[in-house]
Amino acid sequence: MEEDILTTLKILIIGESGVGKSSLLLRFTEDKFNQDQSLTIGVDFKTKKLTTEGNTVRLAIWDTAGQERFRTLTPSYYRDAQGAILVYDVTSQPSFAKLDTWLSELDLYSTKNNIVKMVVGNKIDKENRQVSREDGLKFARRHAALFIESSAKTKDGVQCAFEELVQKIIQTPGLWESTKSNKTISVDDDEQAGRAPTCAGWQCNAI
Amino acid sequence: MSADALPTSYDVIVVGTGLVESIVAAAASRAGKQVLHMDKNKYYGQHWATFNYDDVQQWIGDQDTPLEEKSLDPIDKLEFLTTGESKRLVSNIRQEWFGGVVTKQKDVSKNSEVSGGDEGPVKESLTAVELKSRLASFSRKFNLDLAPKLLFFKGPMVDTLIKSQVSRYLEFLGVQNILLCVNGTIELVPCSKSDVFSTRTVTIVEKRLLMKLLTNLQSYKADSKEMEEMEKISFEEYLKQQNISETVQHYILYSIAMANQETTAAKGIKQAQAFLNSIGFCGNTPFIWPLYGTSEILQAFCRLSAVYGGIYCLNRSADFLATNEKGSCEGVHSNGGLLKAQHVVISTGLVPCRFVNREGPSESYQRAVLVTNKPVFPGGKEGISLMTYPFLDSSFDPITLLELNSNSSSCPKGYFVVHLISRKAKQSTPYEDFDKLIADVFSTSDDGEKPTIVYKLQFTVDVLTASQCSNLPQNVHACSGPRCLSIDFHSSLQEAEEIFNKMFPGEEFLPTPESTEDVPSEE
Repeated sequence: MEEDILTTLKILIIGESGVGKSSLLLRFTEDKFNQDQSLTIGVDFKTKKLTTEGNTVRLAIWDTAGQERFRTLTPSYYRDAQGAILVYDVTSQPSFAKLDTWLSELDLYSTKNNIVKMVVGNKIDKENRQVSREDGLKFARRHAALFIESSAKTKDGVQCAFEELVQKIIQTPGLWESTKSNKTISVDDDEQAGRAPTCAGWQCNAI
Repeated sequence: MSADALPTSYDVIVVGTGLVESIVAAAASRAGKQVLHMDKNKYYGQHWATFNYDDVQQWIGDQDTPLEEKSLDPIDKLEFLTTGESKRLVSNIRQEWFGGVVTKQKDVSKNSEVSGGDEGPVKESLTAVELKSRLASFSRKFNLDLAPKLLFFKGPMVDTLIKSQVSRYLEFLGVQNILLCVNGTIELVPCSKSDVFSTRTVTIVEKRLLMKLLTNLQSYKADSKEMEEMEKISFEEYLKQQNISETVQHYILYSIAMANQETTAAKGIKQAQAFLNSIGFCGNTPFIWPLYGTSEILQAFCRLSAVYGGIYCLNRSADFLATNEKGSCEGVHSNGGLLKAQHVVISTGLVPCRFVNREGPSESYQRAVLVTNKPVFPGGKEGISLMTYPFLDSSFDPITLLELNSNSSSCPKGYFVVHLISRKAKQSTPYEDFDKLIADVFSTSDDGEKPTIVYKLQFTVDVLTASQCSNLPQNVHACSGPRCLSIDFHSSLQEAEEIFNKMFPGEEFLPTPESTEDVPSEE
């Protein structure tokens, strides 16, 4: 079951409050949409398998858990991420203008120099658009980022956004292969960390 | 601006993002309480912070700026109390750069993970001035801890991380070497059964005695008659009765029990048990190190709090505690407005002066952060080393030395970060004990095996513990700063749990989340 998975990728979703970050996440991972979703509570990260161009990867997509409200995301949130989705609301010019700040925060904290960025203009189902597609595209080009417009509500562009991002990550050498040179321990992983003592331990009476 | 969007009423307001505060915030959010967590700094962790090189320089600058006194006229029935950090807790900051031979770094503007053609490390000799700018240019490759600590693999902190699933935000590295430096000689301390078998520093006869003693140490039961007796003698005396050589006594006293001459046998045995119980899970030492530094642990608890609805607000100070005529706290004043709360949790360093008793036993400690060019013990395994440096013929307490390399994400390849921790010596010039260790372990020229120091930062931290704060309103809870004299997180965890239980008796502390959200959905 596991053997066909190439790797696990950490993807971040960032951007101003209310632009639809959690909605994009829920639409993509569970194909759900909640019209009244107000402030995000209880969303941490979600995982999903994605197959694109014959490669299957597991995505761990991290939500901001509301810590973007007062720009208090912890540096650890950004660590080791291979991809970042920068979301703005096409009906909110201020949310688009704030992307500059989000990009500089990303540059400051991301630990991989060649992290793949994607700019997503969300809520294109709405009528009162304030940011044109051209402006969004120009911004993304200027920052060497991928670009797509989407609607978490109508599903438009959502699947495509994640697929394009993953393709670009896989094509980027050195970004995802064997990310750690040394063996790290996750304490909740029984097998890896070997919670059962070996005979080097003092609980073992075999010697 | 956005600050105005803050709700004005909470179950708990937590002021300060130290570890105890962060655990309390996580536990309260987890129990469904509405939590506001704020810190006047732009970064997480206060005295627990992990900084890159530039941040360290910034932090040193901050410590030098005088504290501003805030005052405000009393308003209607509310008494205002100053909550600015009553006195600087960090003092005697000194830093120095030295010239030395260091590993030449590959072009850092390119992705350093991809190493093209391995020609082996190239060395270059730099002056102090060149090194200073070199360190600045690698600033972000450094993760320098103000309060470095380790976790026992089978200790209560790891249990809590697993149970609460905060562990999903963290990665660890096993500590590779337990070292002891006596009379200028560094030795590898045998900790596991296989170490005892293979060590060359003890004789065959002694191996059997050591093996028997280490097994025996674990048979003592807490609260037993035997243990009661152990309160009466020192651990050092106890070890002297055990028919083992001085070398082996030192191994157990200083490295395995991490004790000193004053430790009682009961305490020494307990500490040795904690050490021995964690052996055999992650290599041959009991310790793991949080990748990227100690501050990761508290950030992980803050993340859990946020996931459960906690509101995070850095760069925002709480200026006053608001109390009513009954003497209980109504909340805190911030930016001129009142934020109401049932409970206020606050760092001891921010508690108004009149509640703080600075007398009594002090846990104040001295710290040094060294950047060096070679490991202190080349004969050890590559990786993290924990060394104890006791003073056999003086009144100084042992110094704890923790050496981190680039694998632990503390520094660029080819460099090492060495942390020194010791009890603040009362009657001597600051850092006198460190100077002795440095003269023994490091070299000033690069011709020998010994490493040279290229950067040295020293500072002293006055720890205020919660027990030094008294007569606080019953719904205000003080949290101790980092207690660096013990290497693990146990006391902070215990303190956080006590505060949580006092605020919300009967509620479970950091329970396992029901069916986790991230059940993988298949394509």
